Amino acid sequence: MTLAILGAAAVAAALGVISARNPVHCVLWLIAHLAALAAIFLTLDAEFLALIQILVNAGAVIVLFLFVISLLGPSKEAEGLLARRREVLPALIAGVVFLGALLVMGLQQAPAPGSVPAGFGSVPSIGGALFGPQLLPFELTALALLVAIVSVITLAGRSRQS
Amino acid sequence: MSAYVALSAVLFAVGGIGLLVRRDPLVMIMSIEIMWNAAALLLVVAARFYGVMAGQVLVFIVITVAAADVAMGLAIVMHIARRGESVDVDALKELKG
Repeated sequence: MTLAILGAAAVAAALGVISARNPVHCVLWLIAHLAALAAIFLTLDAEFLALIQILVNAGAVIVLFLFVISLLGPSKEAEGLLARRREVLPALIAGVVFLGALLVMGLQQAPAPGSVPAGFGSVPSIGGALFGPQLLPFELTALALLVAIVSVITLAGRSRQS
Repeated sequence: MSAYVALSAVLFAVGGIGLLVRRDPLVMIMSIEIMWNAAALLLVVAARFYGVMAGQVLVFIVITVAAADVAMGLAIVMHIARRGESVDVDALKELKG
């Protein structure tokens, strides 16, 4: 029941993101979508990840989107999605076919829910995994972030020099 | 578990449709964000149902990489906008810097 409500909210908000014409409204729908996903994470014993989802995605990433929208100036799409039926219809068909393929692949093997130890998904357990067995992927993520920072500075700073 | 898998597939497909139908690169990046989060949801579900902590660590990494991805995408959009070109993926013709 909880999953039905939260899942419906997440899907509805995602549909709002792709159908709202004003980019600021898209951002607001995206916040609703991320909040619904964080709630779903909570039902799956992933408390720390739900918190990170709110902090990083619904916080930092959303602020980044809003900054860029305010820098570019808000621009509405000239025509709604219904007016561009010739482009939207093929995309819808492709999406439905793709969804069918995903469902056929994903629903084949569904294991029964296993029991998890107490404290699964808490900060100590995820920290222990992060700095224990998964230390190398964690460090590689730090490297990926460094590369991203350098590339963003290069892209954003070039026009100031010239 | 199949309900969660179905929800993740639906969200991924919605993000994909958004990526195809929208012209504003900002909204396209938001659609990619929806697709990242659908994948993250699937990883959380797998971690819960198989009882492995590695799944949640992978979601942590996915969220980090998704944030970096958004930052780079927005930097590219800013760069295009500063060159005085229209930020519309149908009007963009060249990738030259």
